[in-house]
Amino acid sequence: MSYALQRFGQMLVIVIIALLAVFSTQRLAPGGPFDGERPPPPKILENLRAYYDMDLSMPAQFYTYLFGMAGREIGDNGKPGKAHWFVVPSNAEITTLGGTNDRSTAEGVFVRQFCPWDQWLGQVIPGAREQLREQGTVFRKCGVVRGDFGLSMARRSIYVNDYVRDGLPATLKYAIPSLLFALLLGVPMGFYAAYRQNKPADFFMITIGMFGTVVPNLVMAPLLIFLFAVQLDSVFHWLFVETLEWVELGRRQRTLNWIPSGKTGGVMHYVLPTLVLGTGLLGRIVRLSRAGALEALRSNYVRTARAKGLPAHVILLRHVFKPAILPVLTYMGPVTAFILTGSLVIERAFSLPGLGRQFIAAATDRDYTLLMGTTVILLLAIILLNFIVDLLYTWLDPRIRRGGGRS
Amino acid sequence: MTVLNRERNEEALAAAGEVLRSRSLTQLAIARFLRNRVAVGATLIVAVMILMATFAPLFELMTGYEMDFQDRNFYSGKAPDWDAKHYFGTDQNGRDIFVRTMFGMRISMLVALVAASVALVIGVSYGAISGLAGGLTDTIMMRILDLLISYPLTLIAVIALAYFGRNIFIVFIIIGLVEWQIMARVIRGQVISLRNSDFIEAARAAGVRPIGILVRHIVPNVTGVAIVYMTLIIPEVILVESFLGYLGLGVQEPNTSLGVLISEGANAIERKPWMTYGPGMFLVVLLLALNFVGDGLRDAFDPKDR
Repeated sequence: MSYALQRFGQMLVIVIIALLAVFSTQRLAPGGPFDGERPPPPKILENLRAYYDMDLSMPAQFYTYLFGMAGREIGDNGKPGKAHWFVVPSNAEITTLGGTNDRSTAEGVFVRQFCPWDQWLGQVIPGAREQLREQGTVFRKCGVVRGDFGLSMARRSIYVNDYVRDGLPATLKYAIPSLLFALLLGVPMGFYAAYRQNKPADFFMITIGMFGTVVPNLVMAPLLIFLFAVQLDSVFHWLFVETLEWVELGRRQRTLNWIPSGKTGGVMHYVLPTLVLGTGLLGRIVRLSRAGALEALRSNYVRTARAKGLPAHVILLRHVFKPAILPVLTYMGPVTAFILTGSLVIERAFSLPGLGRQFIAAATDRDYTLLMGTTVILLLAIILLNFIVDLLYTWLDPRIRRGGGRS
Repeated sequence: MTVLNRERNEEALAAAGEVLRSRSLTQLAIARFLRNRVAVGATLIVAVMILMATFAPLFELMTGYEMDFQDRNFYSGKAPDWDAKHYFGTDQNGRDIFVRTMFGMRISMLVALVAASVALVIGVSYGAISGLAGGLTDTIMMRILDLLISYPLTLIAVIALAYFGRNIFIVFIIIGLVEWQIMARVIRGQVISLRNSDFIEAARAAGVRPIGILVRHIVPNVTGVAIVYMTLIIPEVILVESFLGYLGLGVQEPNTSLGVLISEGANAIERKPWMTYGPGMFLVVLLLALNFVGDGLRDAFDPKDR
């Protein structure tokens, strides 16, 4: 229990350090989110900067990003009197800044679900509409700690939470299957290779491992697209449509599109991304589990088990599995890293609207809030997986549970 | 271990042309490396690739200047054509893919040199400081390293490149900052085992000052390991560079890299698949060969084997 608490504290520190690093990189780097080809007029720029708190000092900005702010006064917006930014939940729309997406009703401003832990969630704030009309915009920032990642800076009517809500499932839909594919196929393959060391089967597995490790995602993705979505598609078209007259295609549809290579849709859209990511992982996992199993097979207790006359599958499952799976588990941290960096390539290659793509877009557009938001989500994914791995590790290796020495 | 029999020993002596009483560890390692056929073959492939990359402008002379603007297929790219000396075809600007690949290889080689050196310097100093300091410093530095290993620094590199990277050397240095953790860990292990070894003890007993021990005993003993792990880092570094190039964050036009070429090819994969084949093949072969060289060197220098 205290171990879990310790890990929790550690992960909090990591997230804050990473956020601080990204934050300071952004603010120190030349250029900003609002200087495009046609910069906005000075007054609007001033309002924009005020809205995103970029006129505050750097520590204040970071504090606001983390913990939010109840409301503040900013400069005049062309109307008489000061414009006030009032205490209303995260997403009041920014009428002064060009957003017309006003969700106010007759009673007030409707609060959408952006502060997941906010008291205003789903409520209607009385009187906010009048304030909105007379005094500019009402809003409140809840801060990351309350689950509000703020408003995107490049597309100023979309919330980062929306981006994450749309992007995370798209990424997980191929990341999790590819991880399962690699583990469920790679570990048995590695064990089998170790069991038949230096036999043809072993060489076959080693070759697959080498292939998966060396051929990078960015080569595999276009090749698989060409093979499955272009070449095989035309073969199948010739076979089923022209020769067998089996499939009726619409007039404008020229291909079967049986394994599509771009955009989202049904399950088939995730087949190729899963394959590309999965083979990369598979290669690494085959090599690791083979090495682990080889070491376990050489041990004395396995020799004893063999001498007792236990059948092969019992030896492999009962005596070899636990020690041999440990190096694979240790590798799960880098595996997450591999999946995340791979997601950048794969989502570009297959035009998937996932988190990786948003990450790249945020970095190149200098969308500060979106970049921070995606960074937090990616970090949380890594931390979560590492946490699960740690728990599995303590379960598999009793030495760690007793607080014994780490190798 | 193979036992050297008399004939082979004499052959070796005759080849050396002098009486050898004993061979140094490095000589043994080189001999072991040369016996590894795969590694030697891979080394040859890498050497040929380095030569090709070095003389990339020659290939340009060979194919590049005769552009037929009257050809209606000029701007749509042409499939590989050995008669026209477009071995990998041309791209949508009529540029020869083979020549572009050679120029991309140059960038990869530069990355291998610069970024891997950056990684070497950081990894060796981090590992050496951690190993020599010991105690609490060591613990803290290793905890940080543990964390860094399981977090994708590549993502940080993406951010850093998007914000700072236009200059090619900034790109290289940022890439070098990504891949140094394994090196640091290995060097630390080596330094610790050296620190506790008998000959260091003897030197200390003889009154050699710490700086003398560092320069005379630790540095020479760490160099071999550092070089071996540098060869293992090189393919990783090349991969990171092509990854960043694929995302459009690496080198900028008119320079090109293998990743950029593959990215261009991937965009046109349906109509012009040959644009991906050449660069992709070169990248895969380069990575494969470098991996074999690195593995061979590690096996040859592996202290466990001695």
